[in-house]
Amino acid sequence: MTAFTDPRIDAYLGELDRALAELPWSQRRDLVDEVESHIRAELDDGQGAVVVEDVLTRLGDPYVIAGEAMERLGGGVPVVSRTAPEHPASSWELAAVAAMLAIAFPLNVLQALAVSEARATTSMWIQTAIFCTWYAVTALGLVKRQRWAWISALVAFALASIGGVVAVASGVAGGLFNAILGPAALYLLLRRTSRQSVGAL
Amino acid sequence: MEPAGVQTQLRRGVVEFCVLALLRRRERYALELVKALTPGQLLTSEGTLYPLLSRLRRDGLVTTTWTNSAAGPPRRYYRITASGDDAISQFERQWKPFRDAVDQLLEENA
Repeated sequence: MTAFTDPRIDAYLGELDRALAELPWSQRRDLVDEVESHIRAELDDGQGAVVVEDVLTRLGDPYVIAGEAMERLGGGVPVVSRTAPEHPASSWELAAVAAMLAIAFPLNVLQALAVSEARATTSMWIQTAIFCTWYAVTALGLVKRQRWAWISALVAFALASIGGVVAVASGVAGGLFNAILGPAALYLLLRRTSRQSVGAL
Repeated sequence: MEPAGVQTQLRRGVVEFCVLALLRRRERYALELVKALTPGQLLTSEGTLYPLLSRLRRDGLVTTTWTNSAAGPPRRYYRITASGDDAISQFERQWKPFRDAVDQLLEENA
């Protein structure tokens, strides 16, 4: 058991833990615990004859194990190298899309207010409430890098694009915002997707 | 496709059934499974068995129990479930004709 306090073991388990960052906490914990008991069992079975370095070498690169885990357990994109960032920062594209959603939120309210002066209807307010909630939840999801938020944003901006173009075509100046913002956001979303799989969001 | 790629492709989808086969007769602990799977052939490295075991457990094909051993720390034993048994039986039925078909094709076109 004395060999178990070896700093190389701690370093190995630490690296494995970091490599598994994309997995849910419980699965990550479980895998690290299993590998730890593997090392412990190897060293115990070997009665001191087993060298720590050999045990770790046979276990293999923590990032290879993590890659396997991502694939088997569906945590997202495999971590392929040790140069991969610990916590990949959300890209500027995502930040921009989230910002657009945040801008769309007050604009929708203002628009609804302006329209309601002329012809206030309950359905218009319900519609505004639904869209605002949708945008807010999606923006939050994007910031938290949830996969569903990406799809939600895609649908939101696709609808905005269509709505905007139709409005502009029928002479409503208010649609101009949607006609520009919608396609711009779609471009950013798809641009990011072409670089990374959706799972990475 | 480079040789390493071929091996990865072959392992994928087959190794889990090798694990289930090893658990058919009796329960085993992870280290036993690792040693039986001859690293380098069936496993990329010993550590890659653990994500696979997690997956099998999540899919309900194996269950685990912690058992105290006389000497050393408690060990987690893996046991095959009824659906694990079904899965390995089904694989076995399909594997042999599959393997024969590939062998025959390779021989004919050697």
